Amino acid sequence: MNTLTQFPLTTNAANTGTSPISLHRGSKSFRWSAAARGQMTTTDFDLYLTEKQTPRALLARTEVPDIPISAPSVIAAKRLTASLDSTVIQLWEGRVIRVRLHEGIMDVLLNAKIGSLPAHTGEVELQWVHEQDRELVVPGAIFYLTLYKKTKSGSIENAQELRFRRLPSWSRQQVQRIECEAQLMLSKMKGRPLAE
Amino acid sequence: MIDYGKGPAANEVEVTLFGPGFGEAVAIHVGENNWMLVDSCIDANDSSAPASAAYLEALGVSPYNVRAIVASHWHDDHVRGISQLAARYPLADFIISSVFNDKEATSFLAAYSGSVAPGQARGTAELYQVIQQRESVFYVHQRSIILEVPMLGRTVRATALSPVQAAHSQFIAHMAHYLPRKNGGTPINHAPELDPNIEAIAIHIDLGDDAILLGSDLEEHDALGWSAVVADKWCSNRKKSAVYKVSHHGSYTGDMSRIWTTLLQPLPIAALTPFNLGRHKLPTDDDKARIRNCTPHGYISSGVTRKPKMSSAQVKRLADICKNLSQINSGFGTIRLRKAFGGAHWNVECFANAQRL
Repeated sequence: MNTLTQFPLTTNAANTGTSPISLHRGSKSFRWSAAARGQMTTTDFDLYLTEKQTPRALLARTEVPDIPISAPSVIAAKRLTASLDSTVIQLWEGRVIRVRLHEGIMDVLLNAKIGSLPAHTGEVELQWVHEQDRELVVPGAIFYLTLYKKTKSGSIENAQELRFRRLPSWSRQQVQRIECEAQLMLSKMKGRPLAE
Repeated sequence: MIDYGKGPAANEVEVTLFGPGFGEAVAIHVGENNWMLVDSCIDANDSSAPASAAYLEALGVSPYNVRAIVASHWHDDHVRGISQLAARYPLADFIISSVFNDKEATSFLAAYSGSVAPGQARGTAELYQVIQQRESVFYVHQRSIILEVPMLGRTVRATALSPVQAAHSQFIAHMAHYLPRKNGGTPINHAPELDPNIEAIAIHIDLGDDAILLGSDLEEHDALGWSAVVADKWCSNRKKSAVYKVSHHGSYTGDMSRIWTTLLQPLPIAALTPFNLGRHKLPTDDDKARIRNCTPHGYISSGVTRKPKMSSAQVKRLADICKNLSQINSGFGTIRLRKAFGGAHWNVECFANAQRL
Protein backbone atom coordinates (compact mmCIF):
# COMPACT_ATOMS: atom_id res chain seq x y z
CA MET A 1 0.00 0.00 0.00
CA ASN A 2 1.27 3.41 -0.83
CA THR A 3 -0.31 6.44 0.62
CA LEU A 4 -0.96 8.82 -2.22
CA THR A 5 -2.04 11.88 -0.37
CA GLN A 6 -4.24 13.08 2.41
CA PHE A 7 -7.54 14.80 1.84
CA PRO A 8 -8.51 17.16 4.63
CA LEU A 9 -12.14 16.54 5.55
CA THR A 10 -13.91 19.32 7.32
CA THR A 11 -17.48 18.63 8.43
CA ASN A 12 -18.11 20.76 11.46
CA ALA A 13 -16.21 22.00 14.42
CA ALA A 14 -16.79 18.81 16.34
CA ASN A 15 -16.25 16.42 13.54
CA THR A 16 -13.09 17.25 11.71
CA GLY A 17 -10.75 14.61 10.57
CA THR A 18 -8.46 13.51 7.85
CA SER A 19 -7.98 10.17 6.34
CA PRO A 20 -5.30 8.84 4.07
CA ILE A 21 -6.42 7.43 0.79
CA SER A 22 -4.51 4.37 -0.19
CA LEU A 23 -3.97 3.00 -3.67
CA HIS A 24 -2.19 -0.05 -4.74
CA ARG A 25 -1.36 -1.78 -7.99
CA GLY A 26 -4.50 -2.79 -9.84
CA SER A 27 -6.87 -1.05 -7.44
CA LYS A 28 -10.19 -0.09 -8.91
CA SER A 29 -11.53 1.46 -5.76
CA PHE A 30 -10.42 2.94 -2.51
CA ARG A 31 -11.85 2.88 0.98
CA TRP A 32 -12.27 5.86 3.25
CA SER A 33 -12.67 5.45 6.96
CA ALA A 34 -13.19 8.03 9.66
CA ALA A 35 -14.07 8.08 13.29
CA ALA A 36 -16.75 10.44 14.52
CA ARG A 37 -18.13 10.39 18.06
CA GLY A 38 -16.97 6.89 18.62
CA GLN A 39 -18.55 5.66 15.41
CA MET A 40 -16.59 4.29 12.52
CA THR A 41 -17.74 4.97 9.03
CA THR A 42 -16.42 3.15 6.02
CA THR A 43 -17.22 4.19 2.51
CA ASP A 44 -16.00 2.68 -0.73
CA PHE A 45 -15.38 4.86 -3.73
CA ASP A 46 -14.95 3.57 -7.23
CA LEU A 47 -11.81 4.72 -8.89
CA TYR A 48 -12.22 5.52 -12.55
CA LEU A 49 -8.92 5.30 -14.40
CA THR A 50 -8.13 6.11 -17.96
CA GLU A 51 -5.47 4.18 -19.80
CA LYS A 52 -2.95 6.81 -18.89
CA GLN A 53 -4.02 7.01 -15.29
CA THR A 54 -2.66 3.68 -14.21
CA PRO A 55 -1.88 3.24 -10.56
CA ARG A 56 1.83 3.36 -11.30
CA ALA A 57 1.44 6.58 -13.18
CA LEU A 58 -0.67 8.03 -10.41
CA LEU A 59 1.76 6.98 -7.77
CA ALA A 60 4.55 8.69 -9.66
CA ARG A 61 2.85 12.03 -9.50
CA THR A 62 3.36 14.38 -6.64
CA GLU A 63 0.33 16.58 -7.09
CA VAL A 64 -3.21 15.64 -6.24
CA PRO A 65 -4.56 13.44 -9.01
CA ASP A 66 -7.49 14.62 -11.08
CA ILE A 67 -9.86 11.95 -9.93
CA PRO A 68 -13.55 12.64 -9.35
CA ILE A 69 -13.75 12.25 -5.61
CA SER A 70 -16.18 13.97 -3.31
CA ALA A 71 -15.61 14.24 0.40
CA PRO A 72 -18.13 12.27 2.48
CA SER A 73 -20.88 14.43 3.93
CA VAL A 74 -21.51 15.05 7.62
CA ILE A 75 -24.43 12.66 7.59
CA ALA A 76 -22.29 9.94 6.07
CA ALA A 77 -19.63 10.58 8.67
CA LYS A 78 -22.12 10.11 11.52
CA ARG A 79 -24.02 7.21 10.09
CA LEU A 80 -22.74 3.85 11.07
CA THR A 81 -22.40 1.50 8.19
CA ALA A 82 -22.04 -2.15 8.96
CA SER A 83 -19.81 -3.00 6.08
CA LEU A 84 -18.75 -6.46 5.08
CA ASP A 85 -15.90 -6.55 7.56
CA SER A 86 -17.92 -5.43 10.56
CA THR A 87 -19.72 -7.81 12.86
CA VAL A 88 -22.48 -7.21 15.36
CA ILE A 89 -21.20 -8.79 18.53
CA GLN A 90 -24.22 -8.06 20.65
CA LEU A 91 -27.56 -6.31 20.51
CA TRP A 92 -28.89 -5.19 23.86
CA GLU A 93 -32.51 -4.24 24.31
CA GLY A 94 -32.66 -1.76 27.12
CA ARG A 95 -35.36 -0.20 29.22
CA VAL A 96 -34.90 3.04 31.10
CA ILE A 97 -35.69 2.54 34.75
CA ARG A 98 -34.81 5.96 36.06
CA VAL A 99 -33.37 9.19 34.69
CA ARG A 100 -31.04 11.26 36.85
CA LEU A 101 -30.84 14.46 34.87
CA HIS A 102 -28.63 16.32 37.30
CA GLU A 103 -26.06 13.54 37.02
CA GLY A 104 -26.60 13.00 33.29
CA ILE A 105 -27.25 9.32 33.85
CA MET A 106 -30.02 6.85 33.17
CA ASP A 107 -30.44 3.62 35.09
CA VAL A 108 -31.20 0.83 32.68
CA LEU A 109 -32.19 -2.81 32.46
CA LEU A 110 -30.50 -4.67 29.61
CA ASN A 111 -31.54 -7.87 27.88
CA ALA A 112 -29.24 -9.48 25.34
CA LYS A 113 -30.86 -10.37 22.05
CA ILE A 114 -28.03 -12.61 20.86
CA GLY A 115 -27.34 -15.75 22.81
CA SER A 116 -28.68 -16.53 26.25
CA LEU A 117 -26.96 -14.01 28.45
CA PRO A 118 -28.76 -13.05 31.65
CA ALA A 119 -30.26 -9.64 32.06
CA HIS A 120 -28.14 -6.88 33.55
CA THR A 121 -28.67 -3.53 35.14
CA GLY A 122 -26.37 -0.58 34.84
CA GLU A 123 -25.94 3.13 34.29
CA VAL A 124 -25.55 4.85 30.95
CA GLU A 125 -24.43 8.42 30.55
CA LEU A 126 -26.86 10.50 28.57
CA GLN A 127 -24.08 11.66 26.26
CA TRP A 128 -24.32 8.28 24.53
CA VAL A 129 -27.86 9.07 23.49
CA HIS A 130 -28.24 10.43 19.97
CA GLU A 131 -29.38 14.05 19.99
CA GLN A 132 -32.47 13.13 18.03
CA ASP A 133 -33.50 10.73 20.77
CA ARG A 134 -32.98 12.91 23.84
CA GLU A 135 -36.67 13.70 24.15
CA LEU A 136 -37.42 9.98 24.30
CA VAL A 137 -35.37 9.38 27.43
CA VAL A 138 -38.03 8.79 30.06
CA PRO A 139 -38.67 5.95 32.49
CA GLY A 140 -40.01 3.00 30.60
CA ALA A 141 -38.51 4.00 27.26
CA ILE A 142 -36.99 1.23 25.19
CA PHE A 143 -33.68 1.53 23.37
CA TYR A 144 -31.36 -0.69 21.40
CA LEU A 145 -27.64 -0.72 22.01
CA THR A 146 -25.73 -2.36 19.18
CA LEU A 147 -22.09 -3.25 19.66
CA TYR A 148 -19.97 -3.80 16.57
CA LYS A 149 -16.52 -5.14 15.94
CA LYS A 150 -14.60 -4.53 12.79
CA THR A 151 -11.44 -6.22 11.71
CA LYS A 152 -9.14 -4.51 9.31
CA SER A 153 -5.69 -5.67 8.43
CA GLY A 154 -5.21 -7.27 11.79
CA SER A 155 -6.55 -4.40 13.84
CA ILE A 156 -9.88 -4.42 15.64
CA GLU A 157 -12.06 -1.37 15.79
CA ASN A 158 -14.99 -1.11 18.13
CA ALA A 159 -18.18 0.75 17.41
CA GLN A 160 -21.58 1.12 19.01
CA GLU A 161 -24.89 2.72 18.40
CA LEU A 162 -27.64 3.55 20.87
CA ARG A 163 -31.03 4.44 19.47
CA PHE A 164 -34.37 4.76 21.13
CA ARG A 165 -37.53 3.11 19.99
CA ARG A 166 -40.21 5.39 18.63
CA LEU A 167 -43.81 4.32 18.77
CA PRO A 168 -46.39 5.42 16.25
CA SER A 169 -49.59 6.99 17.47
CA TRP A 170 -52.58 4.75 17.95
CA SER A 171 -54.91 4.66 15.01
CA ARG A 172 -58.66 4.83 15.39
CA GLN A 173 -58.89 1.15 14.51
CA GLN A 174 -56.37 0.27 17.17
CA VAL A 175 -58.24 2.28 19.77
CA GLN A 176 -61.41 0.42 18.87
CA ARG A 177 -59.62 -2.89 19.10
CA ILE A 178 -58.25 -1.98 22.51
CA GLU A 179 -61.75 -1.16 23.69
CA CYS A 180 -63.06 -4.51 22.45
CA GLU A 181 -60.27 -6.45 24.11
CA ALA A 182 -60.74 -4.51 27.32
CA GLN A 183 -64.43 -5.30 27.38
CA LEU A 184 -63.77 -8.98 26.78
CA MET A 185 -61.24 -9.11 29.62
CA LEU A 186 -63.59 -7.28 31.95
CA SER A 187 -66.27 -9.87 31.26
CA LYS A 188 -63.95 -12.55 32.63
CA MET A 189 -63.45 -10.87 36.00
CA LYS A 190 -65.24 -12.58 38.87
CA GLY A 191 -65.35 -11.51 42.50
CA ARG A 192 -64.51 -13.67 45.49
CA PRO A 193 -66.70 -14.02 48.57
CA LEU A 194 -65.88 -11.90 51.55
CA ALA A 195 -64.78 -13.30 54.88
CA GLU A 196 -67.07 -12.66 57.81
CA MET B 1 -29.33 -27.59 40.63
CA ILE B 2 -30.53 -27.06 44.18
CA ASP B 3 -31.33 -30.22 46.10
CA TYR B 4 -34.53 -29.46 47.99
CA GLY B 5 -34.97 -32.94 49.39
CA LYS B 6 -38.44 -34.25 50.07
CA GLY B 7 -41.71 -32.43 49.99
CA PRO B 8 -43.73 -31.58 53.09
CA ALA B 9 -45.75 -34.21 54.90
CA ALA B 10 -49.51 -34.11 54.58
CA ASN B 11 -49.85 -32.59 58.05
CA GLU B 12 -47.15 -29.99 57.51
CA VAL B 13 -47.54 -26.40 56.45
CA GLU B 14 -44.78 -24.87 54.38
CA VAL B 15 -43.87 -21.40 53.17
CA THR B 16 -41.06 -21.22 50.62
CA LEU B 17 -39.71 -17.91 49.37
CA PHE B 18 -37.68 -17.67 46.17
CA GLY B 19 -35.54 -14.63 45.46
CA PRO B 20 -33.16 -14.17 42.54
CA GLY B 21 -32.18 -10.60 43.31
CA PHE B 22 -34.73 -9.15 40.93
CA GLY B 23 -37.98 -10.91 41.53
CA GLU B 24 -39.88 -12.83 44.15
CA ALA B 25 -42.17 -15.84 44.41
CA VAL B 26 -43.79 -17.76 47.25
CA ALA B 27 -45.05 -21.34 47.36
CA ILE B 28 -47.31 -22.28 50.26
CA HIS B 29 -48.32 -25.81 51.22
CA VAL B 30 -51.53 -25.63 53.23
CA GLY B 31 -51.67 -29.35 54.00
CA GLU B 32 -52.52 -32.63 52.29
CA ASN B 33 -50.66 -31.69 49.12
CA ASN B 34 -52.65 -28.52 48.49
CA TRP B 35 -50.55 -25.64 47.25
CA MET B 36 -50.98 -21.94 46.69
CA LEU B 37 -48.52 -19.85 44.68
CA VAL B 38 -48.03 -16.13 45.11
CA ASP B 39 -46.23 -14.16 42.39
CA SER B 40 -43.54 -15.56 40.13
CA CYS B 41 -39.88 -15.14 39.35
CA ILE B 42 -37.45 -16.99 37.15
CA ASP B 43 -35.58 -20.06 38.27
CA ALA B 44 -31.83 -19.79 38.76
CA ASN B 45 -30.99 -22.72 36.54
CA ASP B 46 -33.40 -22.13 33.71
CA SER B 47 -33.81 -18.55 32.61
CA SER B 48 -37.20 -19.31 31.13
CA ALA B 49 -38.82 -21.38 33.86
CA PRO B 50 -40.74 -20.02 36.87
CA ALA B 51 -38.97 -20.83 40.12
CA SER B 52 -42.13 -22.11 41.83
CA ALA B 53 -42.83 -24.56 39.02
CA ALA B 54 -39.26 -25.87 39.07
CA TYR B 55 -39.55 -26.33 42.83
CA LEU B 56 -42.85 -28.19 42.71
CA GLU B 57 -41.56 -30.40 39.92
CA ALA B 58 -38.49 -31.22 41.98
CA LEU B 59 -40.77 -32.30 44.82
CA GLY B 60 -42.95 -34.37 42.52
CA VAL B 61 -46.09 -32.30 43.09
CA SER B 62 -48.86 -32.95 40.60
CA PRO B 63 -50.05 -29.90 38.62
CA TYR B 64 -53.56 -30.63 39.84
CA ASN B 65 -52.60 -29.97 43.45
CA VAL B 66 -52.11 -26.24 42.95
CA ARG B 67 -55.31 -24.60 44.11
CA ALA B 68 -54.63 -20.92 43.61
CA ILE B 69 -52.17 -18.61 41.90
CA VAL B 70 -52.07 -15.03 43.11
CA ALA B 71 -50.55 -12.14 41.18
CA SER B 72 -50.23 -9.77 44.11
CA HIS B 73 -49.60 -6.90 41.72
CA TRP B 74 -48.46 -6.34 38.15
CA HIS B 75 -44.87 -5.24 38.61
CA ASP B 76 -42.36 -6.92 36.38
CA ASP B 77 -40.28 -8.41 39.19
CA HIS B 78 -43.29 -10.17 40.72
CA VAL B 79 -44.97 -11.68 37.69
CA ARG B 80 -42.19 -13.02 35.49
CA GLY B 81 -43.38 -16.40 34.29
CA ILE B 82 -46.77 -16.22 35.99
CA SER B 83 -48.52 -16.89 32.71
CA GLN B 84 -46.53 -20.13 32.51
CA LEU B 85 -47.74 -21.02 36.00
CA ALA B 86 -51.33 -20.38 34.96
CA ALA B 87 -50.90 -22.63 31.94
CA ARG B 88 -49.12 -25.34 33.89
CA TYR B 89 -51.66 -25.48 36.72
CA PRO B 90 -55.01 -25.38 34.96
CA LEU B 91 -57.17 -26.13 38.01
CA ALA B 92 -55.71 -23.30 40.06
CA ASP B 93 -57.88 -20.21 40.44
CA PHE B 94 -56.03 -17.17 39.18
CA ILE B 95 -56.30 -14.23 41.55
CA ILE B 96 -55.50 -10.58 40.82
CA SER B 97 -56.00 -7.27 42.56
CA SER B 98 -59.45 -5.74 42.37
CA VAL B 99 -57.97 -2.60 40.82
CA PHE B 100 -58.10 -4.51 37.53
CA ASN B 101 -61.84 -4.96 37.74
CA ASP B 102 -62.36 -1.81 35.76
CA LYS B 103 -62.68 -0.84 32.11
CA GLU B 104 -59.75 1.56 32.30
CA ALA B 105 -57.55 -1.07 33.90
CA THR B 106 -58.33 -3.70 31.29
CA SER B 107 -57.90 -1.05 28.60
CA PHE B 108 -54.45 -0.49 30.02
CA LEU B 109 -53.67 -4.19 29.75
CA ALA B 110 -55.01 -4.32 26.21
CA ALA B 111 -53.20 -1.19 25.11
CA TYR B 112 -49.80 -2.33 26.33
CA SER B 113 -50.00 -6.06 25.90
CA GLY B 114 -52.87 -6.77 23.55
CA SER B 115 -52.91 -7.35 19.85
CA VAL B 116 -52.08 -3.73 19.04
CA ALA B 117 -49.51 -3.30 21.77
CA PRO B 118 -45.92 -2.19 21.30
CA GLY B 119 -45.17 -5.41 23.12
CA GLN B 120 -42.61 -4.24 25.65
CA ALA B 121 -44.50 -4.06 28.94
CA ARG B 122 -43.61 -7.35 30.57
CA GLY B 123 -45.74 -7.06 33.69
CA THR B 124 -48.94 -6.31 31.86
CA ALA B 125 -48.04 -8.88 29.19
CA GLU B 126 -48.00 -11.67 31.76
CA LEU B 127 -51.40 -10.70 33.16
CA TYR B 128 -52.84 -10.17 29.71
CA GLN B 129 -51.76 -13.65 28.63
CA VAL B 130 -53.36 -15.24 31.67
CA ILE B 131 -56.66 -13.48 31.13
CA GLN B 132 -56.54 -14.55 27.49
CA GLN B 133 -55.93 -18.17 28.51
CA ARG B 134 -58.61 -18.42 31.17
CA GLU B 135 -62.36 -18.35 31.00
CA SER B 136 -62.37 -16.39 34.23
CA VAL B 137 -60.00 -14.78 36.69
CA PHE B 138 -60.85 -13.69 40.21
CA TYR B 139 -60.28 -10.28 41.73
CA VAL B 140 -59.83 -9.68 45.42
CA HIS B 141 -59.67 -6.74 47.79
CA GLN B 142 -59.65 -6.32 51.53
CA ARG B 143 -61.56 -9.17 53.23
CA SER B 144 -61.87 -11.30 50.09
CA ILE B 145 -61.34 -15.02 50.55
CA ILE B 146 -58.52 -16.23 48.34
CA LEU B 147 -58.48 -19.86 49.38
CA GLU B 148 -60.39 -21.92 51.90
CA VAL B 149 -59.44 -25.54 52.50
CA PRO B 150 -60.70 -27.96 55.17
CA MET B 151 -57.59 -29.45 56.67
CA LEU B 152 -57.21 -32.01 59.40
CA GLY B 153 -60.23 -30.95 61.36
CA ARG B 154 -59.74 -27.23 60.82
CA THR B 155 -60.16 -24.73 57.99
CA VAL B 156 -57.14 -23.09 56.45
CA ARG B 157 -58.18 -19.76 55.05
CA ALA B 158 -56.20 -17.26 53.01
CA THR B 159 -57.71 -13.78 52.88
CA ALA B 160 -56.68 -10.50 51.33
CA LEU B 161 -55.84 -7.61 53.65
CA SER B 162 -55.46 -5.21 50.73
CA PRO B 163 -56.06 -3.37 48.49
CA VAL B 164 -58.55 -1.18 50.26
CA GLN B 165 -61.50 -0.03 48.20
CA ALA B 166 -60.25 3.52 47.94
CA ALA B 167 -57.05 2.36 46.25
CA HIS B 168 -59.08 1.49 43.20
CA SER B 169 -59.72 5.06 42.11
CA GLN B 170 -56.09 6.08 42.72
CA PHE B 171 -54.89 3.28 40.49
CA ILE B 172 -57.31 4.12 37.72
CA ALA B 173 -56.41 7.81 37.85
CA HIS B 174 -52.75 6.87 37.50
CA MET B 175 -53.28 4.51 34.57
CA ALA B 176 -55.64 6.88 32.78
CA HIS B 177 -52.67 9.01 31.72
CA TYR B 178 -51.38 6.21 29.53
CA LEU B 179 -54.59 5.14 27.86
CA PRO B 180 -55.44 5.81 24.23
CA ARG B 181 -57.99 8.55 23.70
CA LYS B 182 -60.78 8.57 21.17
CA ASN B 183 -58.64 10.53 18.75
CA GLY B 184 -55.62 8.28 19.27
CA GLY B 185 -52.63 9.46 21.23
CA THR B 186 -49.13 8.07 21.42
CA PRO B 187 -48.36 4.96 23.43
CA ILE B 188 -45.44 4.80 25.80
CA ASN B 189 -43.20 1.81 26.12
CA HIS B 190 -43.80 1.01 29.74
CA ALA B 191 -46.06 2.70 32.25
CA PRO B 192 -44.34 3.72 35.48
CA GLU B 193 -45.66 2.00 38.57
CA LEU B 194 -47.97 3.74 40.99
CA ASP B 195 -45.95 5.18 43.84
CA PRO B 196 -46.50 4.28 46.63
CA ASN B 197 -47.78 0.82 45.82
CA ILE B 198 -51.27 0.69 47.32
CA GLU B 199 -52.70 -1.81 44.86
CA ALA B 200 -50.81 -4.93 45.98
CA ILE B 201 -52.53 -7.85 47.68
CA ALA B 202 -51.23 -8.50 51.19
CA ILE B 203 -52.36 -11.95 52.31
CA HIS B 204 -53.17 -13.40 55.72
CA ILE B 205 -53.21 -17.20 55.96
CA ASP B 206 -55.02 -18.53 59.02
CA LEU B 207 -53.77 -22.01 59.87
CA GLY B 208 -56.00 -22.47 62.88
CA ASP B 209 -53.27 -22.49 65.51
CA ASP B 210 -50.97 -20.09 63.71
CA ALA B 211 -50.88 -17.66 60.83
CA ILE B 212 -48.71 -16.37 58.02
CA LEU B 213 -48.55 -12.79 56.72
CA LEU B 214 -47.39 -12.19 53.12
CA GLY B 215 -46.71 -8.49 52.67
CA SER B 216 -46.17 -8.45 48.89
CA ASP B 217 -44.97 -4.94 47.92
CA LEU B 218 -47.67 -3.06 49.79
CA GLU B 219 -46.34 0.27 51.00
CA GLU B 220 -47.35 2.69 53.64
CA HIS B 221 -49.94 5.34 52.94
CA ASP B 222 -52.20 7.10 55.46
CA ALA B 223 -55.47 6.09 53.92
CA LEU B 224 -54.61 3.44 51.37
CA GLY B 225 -51.57 1.44 52.47
CA TRP B 226 -50.54 -0.35 55.62
CA SER B 227 -52.09 2.27 57.87
CA ALA B 228 -55.46 1.48 56.33
CA VAL B 229 -54.86 -2.22 56.87
CA VAL B 230 -53.91 -2.04 60.55
CA ALA B 231 -56.63 0.53 61.23
CA ASP B 232 -59.31 -1.75 59.85
CA LYS B 233 -61.00 -3.60 62.68
CA TRP B 234 -61.42 -6.80 60.74
CA CYS B 235 -57.76 -6.88 59.67
CA SER B 236 -56.43 -6.05 63.11
CA ASN B 237 -58.51 -8.89 64.57
CA ARG B 238 -56.82 -11.52 62.38
CA LYS B 239 -54.80 -14.15 64.17
CA LYS B 240 -51.31 -12.77 64.71
CA SER B 241 -48.75 -14.31 62.40
CA ALA B 242 -45.59 -16.10 63.39
CA VAL B 243 -44.18 -15.85 59.88
CA TYR B 244 -43.90 -12.62 57.90
CA LYS B 245 -42.85 -12.23 54.28
CA VAL B 246 -41.55 -8.72 54.71
CA SER B 247 -43.19 -6.14 52.52
CA HIS B 248 -41.41 -4.40 49.67
CA HIS B 249 -38.03 -6.03 50.05
CA GLY B 250 -37.57 -4.67 53.55
CA SER B 251 -37.75 -1.00 52.55
CA TYR B 252 -38.83 1.65 55.01
CA THR B 253 -41.66 2.62 52.62
CA GLY B 254 -43.16 -0.84 53.10
CA ASP B 255 -42.86 -0.77 56.86
CA MET B 256 -44.66 0.68 59.81
CA SER B 257 -44.44 -0.21 63.47
CA ARG B 258 -48.06 -1.29 63.78
CA ILE B 259 -47.50 -4.14 61.36
CA TRP B 260 -45.22 -5.70 63.97
CA THR B 261 -47.44 -4.91 66.94
CA THR B 262 -50.90 -5.50 65.46
CA LEU B 263 -50.49 -8.22 62.86
CA LEU B 264 -47.49 -10.21 64.06
CA GLN B 265 -46.55 -12.27 67.08
CA PRO B 266 -43.55 -11.08 69.09
CA LEU B 267 -40.26 -11.90 67.40
CA PRO B 268 -41.71 -13.51 64.29
CA ILE B 269 -39.70 -15.20 61.56
CA ALA B 270 -39.17 -12.53 58.90
CA ALA B 271 -38.20 -13.56 55.39
CA LEU B 272 -37.50 -11.18 52.53
CA THR B 273 -36.00 -10.95 49.07
CA PRO B 274 -33.64 -8.25 47.92
CA PHE B 275 -34.29 -5.91 45.04
CA ASN B 276 -31.41 -4.79 42.88
CA LEU B 277 -31.74 -2.42 39.98
CA GLY B 278 -28.62 -0.40 39.27
CA ARG B 279 -27.89 1.77 42.28
CA HIS B 280 -31.33 1.14 43.70
CA LYS B 281 -30.81 -1.71 46.15
CA LEU B 282 -33.12 -2.99 48.84
CA PRO B 283 -32.88 -3.64 51.71
CA THR B 284 -30.42 -0.96 52.68
CA ASP B 285 -28.20 -1.39 55.70
CA ASP B 286 -30.63 0.77 57.67
CA ASP B 287 -33.51 -1.45 56.57
CA LYS B 288 -31.67 -4.54 57.74
CA ALA B 289 -30.91 -2.93 61.09
CA ARG B 290 -34.54 -1.90 61.52
CA ILE B 291 -35.78 -5.43 60.81
CA ARG B 292 -33.20 -6.97 63.12
CA ASN B 293 -34.45 -4.60 65.78
CA CYS B 294 -37.94 -6.09 65.37
CA THR B 295 -36.86 -9.73 65.32
CA PRO B 296 -33.63 -11.71 65.52
CA HIS B 297 -35.12 -14.30 63.18
CA GLY B 298 -34.61 -12.52 59.89
CA TYR B 299 -33.66 -14.25 56.64
CA ILE B 300 -32.92 -12.97 53.16
CA SER B 301 -33.00 -15.04 49.99
CA SER B 302 -29.84 -13.58 48.57
CA GLY B 303 -26.90 -11.61 49.82
CA VAL B 304 -24.14 -12.09 47.34
CA THR B 305 -22.66 -9.55 44.98
CA ARG B 306 -23.97 -9.59 41.47
CA LYS B 307 -21.07 -8.81 39.26
CA PRO B 308 -21.65 -9.65 35.63
CA LYS B 309 -20.74 -13.17 34.59
CA MET B 310 -20.31 -12.53 30.90
CA SER B 311 -16.98 -13.18 29.28
CA SER B 312 -14.47 -10.48 30.09
CA ALA B 313 -14.51 -9.32 26.47
CA GLN B 314 -18.27 -8.83 26.53
CA VAL B 315 -18.13 -7.07 29.88
CA LYS B 316 -15.40 -4.79 28.63
CA ARG B 317 -17.34 -3.86 25.52
CA LEU B 318 -20.52 -3.17 27.41
CA ALA B 319 -18.67 -1.40 30.19
CA ASP B 320 -17.39 1.15 27.68
CA ILE B 321 -20.91 2.52 27.68
CA CYS B 322 -22.63 1.08 30.72
CA LYS B 323 -21.22 1.59 34.22
CA ASN B 324 -21.96 -0.29 37.45
CA LEU B 325 -23.02 -3.38 35.55
CA SER B 326 -24.79 -5.92 37.70
CA GLN B 327 -26.29 -9.20 36.66
CA ILE B 328 -29.78 -9.84 37.88
CA ASN B 329 -30.72 -13.32 38.97
CA SER B 330 -27.20 -14.20 39.97
CA GLY B 331 -27.83 -14.41 43.69
CA PHE B 332 -30.72 -16.85 43.66
CA GLY B 333 -31.68 -18.25 47.02
CA THR B 334 -34.57 -20.01 48.70
CA ILE B 335 -35.87 -19.79 52.26
CA ARG B 336 -38.11 -22.65 53.34
CA LEU B 337 -40.15 -22.77 56.53
CA ARG B 338 -42.02 -25.87 57.66
CA LYS B 339 -44.10 -26.75 60.67
CA ALA B 340 -46.47 -29.52 61.55
CA PHE B 341 -50.05 -28.45 62.12
CA GLY B 342 -50.38 -27.91 65.84
CA GLY B 343 -46.61 -27.88 66.24
CA ALA B 344 -44.81 -25.22 68.22
CA HIS B 345 -41.76 -24.47 66.10
CA TRP B 346 -41.00 -23.58 62.52
CA ASN B 347 -38.03 -25.24 60.91
CA VAL B 348 -36.07 -22.83 58.71
CA GLU B 349 -33.85 -23.95 55.83
CA CYS B 350 -31.72 -21.77 53.58
CA PHE B 351 -30.78 -22.94 50.09
CA ALA B 352 -28.19 -21.57 47.66
CA ASN B 353 -27.52 -17.91 48.50
CA ALA B 354 -30.20 -17.52 51.16
CA GLN B 355 -28.84 -16.54 54.56
CA ARG B 356 -29.62 -14.95 57.87
CA LEU B 357 -30.29 -11.27 57.71
